[in-house]
Amino acid sequence: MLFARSLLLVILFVLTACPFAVADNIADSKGKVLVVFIYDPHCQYTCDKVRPTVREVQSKYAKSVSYLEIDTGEEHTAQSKALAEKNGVLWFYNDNMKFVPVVGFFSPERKCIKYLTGPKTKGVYQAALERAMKAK
Amino acid sequence: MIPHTLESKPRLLDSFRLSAIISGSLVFIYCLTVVIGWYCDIQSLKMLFGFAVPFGAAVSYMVLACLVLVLALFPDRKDVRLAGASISLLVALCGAVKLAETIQEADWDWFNFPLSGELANGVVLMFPGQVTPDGIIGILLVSTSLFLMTMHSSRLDPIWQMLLTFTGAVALLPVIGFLQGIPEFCGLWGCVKVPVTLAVSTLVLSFAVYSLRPGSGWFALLLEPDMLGTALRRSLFALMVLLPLFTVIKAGAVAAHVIDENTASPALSVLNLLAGVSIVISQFVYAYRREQDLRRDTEKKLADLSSQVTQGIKNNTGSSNLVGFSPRYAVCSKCGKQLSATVLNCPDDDEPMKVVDKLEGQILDGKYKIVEYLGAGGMSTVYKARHIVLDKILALKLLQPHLLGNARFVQRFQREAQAMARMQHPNLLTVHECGFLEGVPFLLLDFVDGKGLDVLIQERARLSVGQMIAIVLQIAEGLINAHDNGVVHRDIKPANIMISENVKGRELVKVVDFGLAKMLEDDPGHQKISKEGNSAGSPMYMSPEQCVGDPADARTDIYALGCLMYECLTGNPPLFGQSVLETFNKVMNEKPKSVSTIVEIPQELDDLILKCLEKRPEDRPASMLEFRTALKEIKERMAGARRAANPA
Repeated sequence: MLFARSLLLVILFVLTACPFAVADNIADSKGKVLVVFIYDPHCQYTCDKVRPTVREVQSKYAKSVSYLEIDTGEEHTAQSKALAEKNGVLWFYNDNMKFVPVVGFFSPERKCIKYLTGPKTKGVYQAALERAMKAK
Repeated sequence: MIPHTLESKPRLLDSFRLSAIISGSLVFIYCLTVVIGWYCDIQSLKMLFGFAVPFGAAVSYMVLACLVLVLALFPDRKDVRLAGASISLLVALCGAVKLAETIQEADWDWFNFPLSGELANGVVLMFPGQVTPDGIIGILLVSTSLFLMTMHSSRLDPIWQMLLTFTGAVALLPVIGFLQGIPEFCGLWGCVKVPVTLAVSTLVLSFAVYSLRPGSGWFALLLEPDMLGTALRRSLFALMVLLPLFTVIKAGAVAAHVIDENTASPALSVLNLLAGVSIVISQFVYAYRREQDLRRDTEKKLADLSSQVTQGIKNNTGSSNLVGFSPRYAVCSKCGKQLSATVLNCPDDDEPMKVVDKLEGQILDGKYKIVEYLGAGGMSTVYKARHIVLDKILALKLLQPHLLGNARFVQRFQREAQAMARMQHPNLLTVHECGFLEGVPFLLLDFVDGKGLDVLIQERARLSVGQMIAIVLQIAEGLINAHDNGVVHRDIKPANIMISENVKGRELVKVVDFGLAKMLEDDPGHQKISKEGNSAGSPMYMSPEQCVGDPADARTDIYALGCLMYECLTGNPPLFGQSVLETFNKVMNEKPKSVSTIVEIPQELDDLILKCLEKRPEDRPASMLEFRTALKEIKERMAGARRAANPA
């Protein structure tokens, strides 16, 4: 029985973890505010500059805010779409995959409260996140 | 066929206006579709042709395209132009603020205006909203150019045209990148998947803005009828058609695995470049050969004319419609009496005479429809005519029928054709054809839709220094070309200077009537004519050497130009008497009063005019080029002094 449970857990883990091989972070995002960071592996300077800032802002509210990174690299399109769809932000991915970095801030009901194109200061991300948290 | 004459300018202008309408419509329809896609959240419309366009960029481009359309449809409405200027300025300000926001890495929510309610996904469509850097730059450059263009200021022309050229170059980058298979561009503000449709929209919109005022700035070169204008037009057209075609062929070859894009890409780039350069070179060669053919054709016609002159004189008693009768006369509206066209009232009943011209409306030689009578001189009558095959408006100059028996006048007519055939310059009339029309020698010339300088001086009493310099510099340009081709005009006077107003925003000055022109080379035939005709000219503008029958050279025209400048500024020629003899006497012996004693002008300009009016040719500027340079320097110094006086 224990073996069966363990096996089931492993299978579940593998099934859920596969898509996140594309994304850097897993998002158990239900009922939480969601921050989506769309990036591209080629976007080394700007995306690598934005990523730690967004992560830092999100980490302050880690309990109530989920964080998701989606890669727009062509080789990962299918997985990225699946990931975005799973998190209810496929439209956002489709709309913004042509220019990165983009950071979207979603309410727990997955309404887009704010999205920011290009690099912004930490204060801007912080304000956008707080606005998403206050949104009903 | 690419039009080659100045008369084709209006048609070319219309073509450009049509281009602006088509280009504006295309961008408008595309952006409208994308905007509808954003409102209705339809992914296929938001990413039409597979390329994303941000909502703010689509709205801005739609507004700009709409402005271009309206400006092209109502080019003469000042209110439309003002509205266009205001709206494009607003869009430019939006672009500038977004650019500042992007550079600051800020999010200025106060500058985003909602254009929709909350959509299903929670998004409120904002303007300008989140726009990608390429979109911001496109919006800023195109709207600024459009704003400056609507100002209709010749000083701003180089600025907006430079901006548009830069915009085109920036927009070409993604297009070239896409053609070369580059997936995305990365920069300080992030990475953008090659935004081809937005870039093409920017290019098309830039072209549309150019096309709204093609006659201004350096773009006016495209409208010039000379070799350069023709070559530029053809090159641009060929590049616009052939390069995309080349790309399609390349894409087909890649798809059919004829070539491998990855390995062949550098070679294909070089091939693209070579194709472009070859196109441009071939067009210049074509234009040059066409120009040469035209010249040879004209020379051949002139040679034929020479042999026909004698024949024409011999046969002028024949059955021709034109020979031997004056087609223009006056008819009394009461008694029907026919008199000379110059008679205003009937001598019998004092009723006003009505002028009738039998040629008006007639088609001569099966191809020239006489539109209207333009005027007559002692030697010729000029009609506005339409070449019914080529649909071009031209000026048809016919020798006065009563002069047909006088070989001297026929030869002078012929000399005018020969002189003009040598020259091709925007400030000189072009002769398109010459020959005999029903027994009468004719010249087919550029039709200039403008007014004579004499009329302008009469209307304004005198011209300002700036106006005078602007006009005289253009005359000098034309005469430099004439002198370079060995032709001296010998009859420069206000009545022989036409100022065209058909090119919007710019005065185009043309030197006309080379009926007294003299060829400078050592041709016995021409010498003879020169000796016979050296007393000809307009006494008030004749140089001392012309009065006494000495040979004329370039400095003769410089003297006449001095008289013309004098008259422009004071309203009167420098020396004139009650009779021709008195005028000759004054020209030979009197020194004219300096202009500054009559009106206030810069001392150096006064000196230059007096130098042109020197009795001895060797005391005048040595050449028209030297004169032009001196006048230009004066103009620049005056502009500098004005700037210094009004630094703001």
